Amino acid sequence: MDRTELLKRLRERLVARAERLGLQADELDGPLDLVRSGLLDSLGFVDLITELEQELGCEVDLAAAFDKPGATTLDGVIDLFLKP
Amino acid sequence: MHEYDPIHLFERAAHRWSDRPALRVEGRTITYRELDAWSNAIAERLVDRCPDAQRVAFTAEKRANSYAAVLGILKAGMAYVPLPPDGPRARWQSMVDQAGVKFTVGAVDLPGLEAIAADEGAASRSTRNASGQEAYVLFTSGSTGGPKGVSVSRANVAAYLEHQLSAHAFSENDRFSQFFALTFDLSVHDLFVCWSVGGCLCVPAANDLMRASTFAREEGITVWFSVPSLVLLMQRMRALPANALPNVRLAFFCGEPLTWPIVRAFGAAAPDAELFNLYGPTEATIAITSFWISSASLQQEGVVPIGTPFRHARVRVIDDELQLSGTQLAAGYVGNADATDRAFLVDPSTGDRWYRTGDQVREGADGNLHFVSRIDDQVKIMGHRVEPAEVDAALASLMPNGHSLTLAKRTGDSVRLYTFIDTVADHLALMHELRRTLPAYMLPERIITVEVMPMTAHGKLDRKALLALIEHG
Repeated sequence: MDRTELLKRLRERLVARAERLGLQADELDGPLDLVRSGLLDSLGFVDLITELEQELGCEVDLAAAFDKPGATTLDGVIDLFLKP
Repeated sequence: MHEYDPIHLFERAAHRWSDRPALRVEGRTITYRELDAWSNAIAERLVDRCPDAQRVAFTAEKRANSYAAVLGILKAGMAYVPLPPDGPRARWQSMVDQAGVKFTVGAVDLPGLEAIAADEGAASRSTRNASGQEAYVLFTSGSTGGPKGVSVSRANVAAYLEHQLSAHAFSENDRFSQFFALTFDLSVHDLFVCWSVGGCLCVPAANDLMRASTFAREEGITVWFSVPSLVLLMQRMRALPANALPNVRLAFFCGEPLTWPIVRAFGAAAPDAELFNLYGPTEATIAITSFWISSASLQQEGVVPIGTPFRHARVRVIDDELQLSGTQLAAGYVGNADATDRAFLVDPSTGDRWYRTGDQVREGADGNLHFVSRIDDQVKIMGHRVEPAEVDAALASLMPNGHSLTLAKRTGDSVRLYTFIDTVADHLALMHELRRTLPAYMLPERIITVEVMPMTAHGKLDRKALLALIEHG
């Protein structure tokens, strides 16, 4: 799966939640911090990753992902799956 | 002055262990000597610039400045008012107004406040003012409007410290976690238990909560204190394998009901740790009951007892509700005598003050208290107290012709809020406005419009029927 496709899937998953922030779906872009912004709480973020793992049939190193800054942005999530 | 006064204990430690590390934050190690000097400089600036100030605010970021500010403000004989770093600013304004704050340590972006520099420096003289009575004002969710500020005194904190320092053998070799936000009173345990015994306070960066397990290993944490949710998060992240936390020798949990499965997961990761479940509202200073978790009792399900009261605390259960009394009891809510009178009762026969916790408890045959549920609608979200009605209070001015009802729903391990409104409104615009006044954890998951609010046969709002709507989109 490429970056564009993964971003599309992530947006689909989060679009229902964008309302929580008073945002339109297309405002959910790469640098938005999903947790600090209040879009997801930290457990909700982990749930998102777990769901994606099941959908894509792979397991990521979630604990190590947070050693890098920006892990909870859309870009960070994409890197987690595309740059293991 | 109280023997266990937090500043007295800090200064004694700073004298005795001056070259040992007091604080690890932002990649720096700060010694007791340095932290003492830094906070003296802040105290001197406060006394020079605003000698009559009673309460001083700062933005409670997990940065070295904030820790120096806490000490500096207390040394100046003033009380600290930490503002949540993520705002929102309208909430800061409400806190600053209620607490009558005019001065801040470090800049705070609100009109009418004067900032005192938070920078490191050297004081030219000793400005310690032991006559300060109040230690801090911390805000919790209020059901009738904005946040409520709880005024806690240095004597309240001293009573807490006296119990904890007598009950546990902490040492200058201990390395304490500092996971709690400084706006949360459990952080007061982290700071002042650590600084009473000459330990090192280890502060994770903002995103480090997501890597708490790695952080604890890197910093060699020996004394752990967190909400149970943090353990759940680590477990879900597969970051809590057996022996993942080998250095932890004492672990405390507080802020939410602790379940036995969480205890077992933590116990396997920290096999040498003694585990304690603490309980206590902000109004009774940090924590006021404790339960020691014996390794023989691990194979249970459900919720861990909250245990027995601290040495200076008294408890009673009236109509199933837990009431608290003793020297840890706070003065009340700042500028809100009505709320204070509702929550703090005076026993007419003894004159004793009792705080009504709103927590329904059961007294076990073994003498331990067991948390059962709330007697009102309050819920805990990642340890934060949330009154769902505060969301409705925020919406009231935005929808003059409609009504709203916010309900909490538990799904698996998480509690989430849903807001039902009986009027046609732009949900995006409402959420946008709510974000201006409420912290992120208090935002509803969704706003749902209903044509009419469903009623029960008894003429009450039918909460079950509303919650059932969530499942149907």
